[in-house]
Amino acid sequence: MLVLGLDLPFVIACSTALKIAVALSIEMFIIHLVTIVCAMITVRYLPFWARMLVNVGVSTVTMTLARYLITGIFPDITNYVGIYIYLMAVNGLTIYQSSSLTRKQRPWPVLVSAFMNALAFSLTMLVISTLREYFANGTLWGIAVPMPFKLSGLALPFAGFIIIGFLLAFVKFINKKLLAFSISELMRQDARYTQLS
Amino acid sequence: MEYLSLFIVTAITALVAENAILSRALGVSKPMLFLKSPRMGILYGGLLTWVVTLSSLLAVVVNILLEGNAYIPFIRAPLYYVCVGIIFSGTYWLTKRYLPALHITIRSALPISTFNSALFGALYVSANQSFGFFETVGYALGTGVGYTAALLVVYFARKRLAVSPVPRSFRGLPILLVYLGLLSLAIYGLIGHGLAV
Repeated sequence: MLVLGLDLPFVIACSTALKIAVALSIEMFIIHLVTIVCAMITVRYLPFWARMLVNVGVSTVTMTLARYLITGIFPDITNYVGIYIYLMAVNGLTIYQSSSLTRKQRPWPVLVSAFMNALAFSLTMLVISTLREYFANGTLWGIAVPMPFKLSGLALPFAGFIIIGFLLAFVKFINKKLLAFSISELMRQDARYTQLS
Repeated sequence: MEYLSLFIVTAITALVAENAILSRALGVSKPMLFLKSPRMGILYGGLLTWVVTLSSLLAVVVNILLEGNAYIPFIRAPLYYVCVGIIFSGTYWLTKRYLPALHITIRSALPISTFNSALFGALYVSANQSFGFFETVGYALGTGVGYTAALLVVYFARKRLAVSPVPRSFRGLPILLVYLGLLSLAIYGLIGHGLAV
């Protein structure tokens, strides 16, 4: 999700507290899975422009229901998330995946992919929210945690951009190292096979 | 005169101080940040400006109708979706019928520009701040123009960053996000947000 650069607005602006991360993750799971199921149907019968219209309509209605559920669990969440709880209806991940479906795709892999994407969003949100809440406010899940200093600027959107930039660079670095390691392993195995034969 | 000044001030606020990309990270996604040419940026931004400005006219009517309604959090999002959907469908069909050459140009860009968090964000922010008619339309227009300007800034920044000595892991999206973070920090400084000292 990070590498594709989708759903960045939520990760940048809203990953400031663990409660927000959990609330938005629940919302994302509900909206994303329901919309993808709908998209699998619309892709068979509707042209692209109408599909987009119907899919976003479904995600908007689902968002309204999900918002009702989330405000039941976290009553004060709208004070912290503001407009972003509504904007989840047009989140990049759902729009991208629902619009890029094709008729030939089988339902099960699409659903698994949708679930994994929503899970990736949740994990990213949880990791970044934990860091930002701890370093910006000195709390975790709203509970004060001993912290020698506070960097309150970390809760602002500009810090979100910078943190995501660094995190993405770290992910790219790890990916490259893993790729290099697997290539060297393959070459080593290949060399052993050549020696044996 | 008073209404004109309200319109202009709100539009300039949305254009600079509350720029959709730089202050709220709205509409930030890899496809938008990695445009192939400035012409694409103008196309996406222009379409977003067109749809958001016209949608805001309908959204004002929705806001007036919903005034005092207890179910606003549940009704507003679907009604805004209908407003945007009407403008989207109208633009799609009118260009197809009367301006086929333009239709071919905008056909693929229109859904991406329309179902975008920057567009819906402008409508929700206007509603949350209880803007009147001129402020809502001014804010929508400013958001669209500001979004286009930010896309062009990002495009030219990316060109310069591509030839700069940036560490390998930071090349591409990571360094662009760090750059956007610094721009966002500058905007925060401009509007008077100070870091805690």
